[in-house]
Amino acid sequence: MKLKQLLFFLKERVAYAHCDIPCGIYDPHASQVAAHTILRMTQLISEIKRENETKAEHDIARTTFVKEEHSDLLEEELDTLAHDYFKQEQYEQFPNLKELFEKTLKAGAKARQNIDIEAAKETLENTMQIAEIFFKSKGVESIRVPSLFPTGGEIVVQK
Amino acid sequence: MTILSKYKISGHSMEPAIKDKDYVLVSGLTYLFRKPQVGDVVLFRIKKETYIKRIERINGEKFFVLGDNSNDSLDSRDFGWIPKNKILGKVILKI
Repeated sequence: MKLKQLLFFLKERVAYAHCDIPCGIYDPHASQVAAHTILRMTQLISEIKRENETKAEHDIARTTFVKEEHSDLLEEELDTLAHDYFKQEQYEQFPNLKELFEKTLKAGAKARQNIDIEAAKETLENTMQIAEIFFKSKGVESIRVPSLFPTGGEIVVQK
Repeated sequence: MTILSKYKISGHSMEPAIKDKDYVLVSGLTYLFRKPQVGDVVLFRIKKETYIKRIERINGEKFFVLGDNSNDSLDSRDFGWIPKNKILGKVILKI
């Protein structure tokens, strides 16, 4: 049997040798919404009453699921900003940016692993600071406006 | 990473050495016995995807990887140095 025939039986996987489509479309809005959602889910879990155990377990499962989903989304959005949008020159221009990403991911992991309002708030605050740097790097002014979400707090938008 | 894996290549960044839709054989064992070297073609995971590039520079346990066809390549110029633990294996054969 020839080598090619032998290798035919190996499971086939895909490796990418291409670039991302350089669409240039980046926005820090989705990451902020994800961070607000993590905070909201944490608040909701904290408020669940234990009067009906079955309902409480059901509600905790659903809320935790959404918290997990948005933690994934936040990580993905931050990853895109950190690696696709921000380049070396911006990391030089904003020397605290790299540390800010690391702090956000750490706080996000803490918020994901625990029912920790403070960690969720820290995640949101850091995410907003990243949004502010994003707008600065675009050369436009940003402003913090009321989020109008049940979490209260603010969201960073272009002025 | 398994001992031996078969990968189908999607994209043009490794041309002319490895073309779109080529198949390569990847060894997960090689780097258990020796360190990755400049010039090695490696597979690595980043952003939940598997990429293939060539090692261009080494700094301790970090690797700067580039596509051979650098005009059409997402590589260390974009995502920075790759830590060793992200490398899945070495391309040992184009099938």
